Amino acid sequence: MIIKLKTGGLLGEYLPPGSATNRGEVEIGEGATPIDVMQHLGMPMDRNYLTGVNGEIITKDQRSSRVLVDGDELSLMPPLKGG
Amino acid sequence: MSWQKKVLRVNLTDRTSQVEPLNMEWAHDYIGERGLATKYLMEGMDPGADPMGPDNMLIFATGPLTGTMASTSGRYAVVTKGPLTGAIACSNSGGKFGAELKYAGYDLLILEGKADAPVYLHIIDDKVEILSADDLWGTTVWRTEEKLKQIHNDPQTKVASIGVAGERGVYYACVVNDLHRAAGRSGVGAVMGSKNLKAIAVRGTVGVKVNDPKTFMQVVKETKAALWDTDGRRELAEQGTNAMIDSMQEFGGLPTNNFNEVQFDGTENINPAAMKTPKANGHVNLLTNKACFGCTIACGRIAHIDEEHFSIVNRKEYWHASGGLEYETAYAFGPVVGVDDIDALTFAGYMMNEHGMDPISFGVTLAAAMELYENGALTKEQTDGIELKFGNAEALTVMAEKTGKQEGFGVELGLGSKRLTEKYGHPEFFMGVKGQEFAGYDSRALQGMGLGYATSNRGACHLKHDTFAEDMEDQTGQGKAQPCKDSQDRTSVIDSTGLCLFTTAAWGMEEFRVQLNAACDYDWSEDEIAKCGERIWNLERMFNLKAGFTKADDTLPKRLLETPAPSGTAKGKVCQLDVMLPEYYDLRGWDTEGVPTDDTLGRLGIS
Repeated sequence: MIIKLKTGGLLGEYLPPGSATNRGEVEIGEGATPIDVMQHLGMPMDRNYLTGVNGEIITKDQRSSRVLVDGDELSLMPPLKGG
Repeated sequence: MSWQKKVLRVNLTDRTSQVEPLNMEWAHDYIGERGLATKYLMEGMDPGADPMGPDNMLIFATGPLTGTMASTSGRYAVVTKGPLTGAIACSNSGGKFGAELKYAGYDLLILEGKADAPVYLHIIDDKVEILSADDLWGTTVWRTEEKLKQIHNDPQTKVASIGVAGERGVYYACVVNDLHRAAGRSGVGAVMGSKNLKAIAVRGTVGVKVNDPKTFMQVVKETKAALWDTDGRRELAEQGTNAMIDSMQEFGGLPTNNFNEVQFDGTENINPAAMKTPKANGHVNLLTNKACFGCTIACGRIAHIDEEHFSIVNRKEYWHASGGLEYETAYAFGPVVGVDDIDALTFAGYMMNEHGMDPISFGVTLAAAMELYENGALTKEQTDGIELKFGNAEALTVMAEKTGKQEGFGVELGLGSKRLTEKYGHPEFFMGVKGQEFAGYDSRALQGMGLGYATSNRGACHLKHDTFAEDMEDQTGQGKAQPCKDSQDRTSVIDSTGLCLFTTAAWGMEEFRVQLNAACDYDWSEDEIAKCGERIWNLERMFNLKAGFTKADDTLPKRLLETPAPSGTAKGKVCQLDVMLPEYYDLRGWDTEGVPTDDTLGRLGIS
């Protein structure tokens, strides 16, 4: 299935090659969760991320239980502070 | 060590100065910078005094780690009673001025009274002069700094000054140092202006000494390495704080059109990618990043405006590089006023630095004026012929300059949004707390931020607590009081060290404690350092209570408490302050009216 990806800041570096700035998509097996996608992209797991699916917040607990479906948009944003 | 153990006290009324020993018992209890200046303020003035009167004290404070080899050691704070709020003001700045003040041999510079004519302070180590500023009064921050370096024939002189905004009492005037770093919030520049003090020019050659150089070098090496290795540090260096704008847009926490919306269609025109993307004519907004004194993060942005842009076409004096967009300036000149013209935003930033104004308060005040205009409470005749509508880039640039120069409708904008909206009959359009405007986070989406805003001792502020991680996991009021209280106490410590909050991208309290203990001839235990933070927070609270604030001031505008977020991840939600505030008071050891109990004050040693 295809999952659309939206990232912020330097997280765009983890998008598949050829992606636009902070926009891309990834092909992954049926039944994948947000954690599966993040691991597939090689993102470090020890950071806080603002994670959303189709515009809804996904909590840390839900990242390994929420089953994505074809065409879902997964958002991964860095929680920085603005000075 | 690493305090200089000296306070420079200047009486502007008498035009006298004296050096006195630092109260070391207070230094152990309040560390330095924000905490120690708060203690001196509380002991030295009546919290009920007029903030613009001669009885207000104005304190420039360094921390024990300011000017040392620790990373980000350029910080200093300006502590006073703020005219925007009537509450305690603590505005923190970077650049190089703070380290230079420390190198001149002082932990604190205390300014009292009021000069009978414009003056500036010139300090070279123990030589302190109060000199006439007749030739500087009425000039910009940039001109003042340039001229003082010429007058004293020393390009290494560091200057902190005010512009016309500070001279004329703009309620959110700031103190600018090193051309584009500022002690920005709460109107500390207006206090400086009220004392007829145009600038402080300082040159220091004394240096600093640490207590245990070998241990200090080792812990600094380790903490710098830890900071360097984090993604958060790299994010700040490469993207700047404006990386937050994409996160807030996605989250639905980006205040837009004076908080009537929480998402903004134009973010892709003003985000970090836009700052680096060439326009059709080849112009690129961002030139480079920049670090403050001793900083190994370098989050600052240096930008320039397209010479063909309407704001500076035929104005060569602005065809140069200066401070660029950070998140709060991007928010305050962008979404909250509905503008997505990156050159217009950058020009507004130039105006803030050149004339000495807080961009957050200016932007949100302009947003309130736009809402007044769109609701018919202001007319085009009153706004100097400018269509003060959301999205009008010309309104942003023209009003930024008019406010800085205090011309036309800019005089009204200088009131700040609370006074402005009250004057024109719509106080419900004021978006802030205790008279101070909100930063770029909507507390319907970030609930802990709402509690932090409501309880911040200097009025609405995003930098005195840190609940970002909790807010991004859950959008209810549950579980926010404890992390809000704990992070307020931690921040009180960090703001008192002389180091920058952004080091928390890698460091916890232990990293600050080991650096302090190696630098100072005093050792804090983990419990003691935690208690210092709680003590500072409670002393600030006591200042405000004595100034007349009550529980009724720990609140948010109805728009956030009663009107649901219209879109984003928090669509349909309001800020649950009613859930969070009682729990917060209880955790703080305050009674139900928000007053610290005798037990709490006794435990913290506050009399």
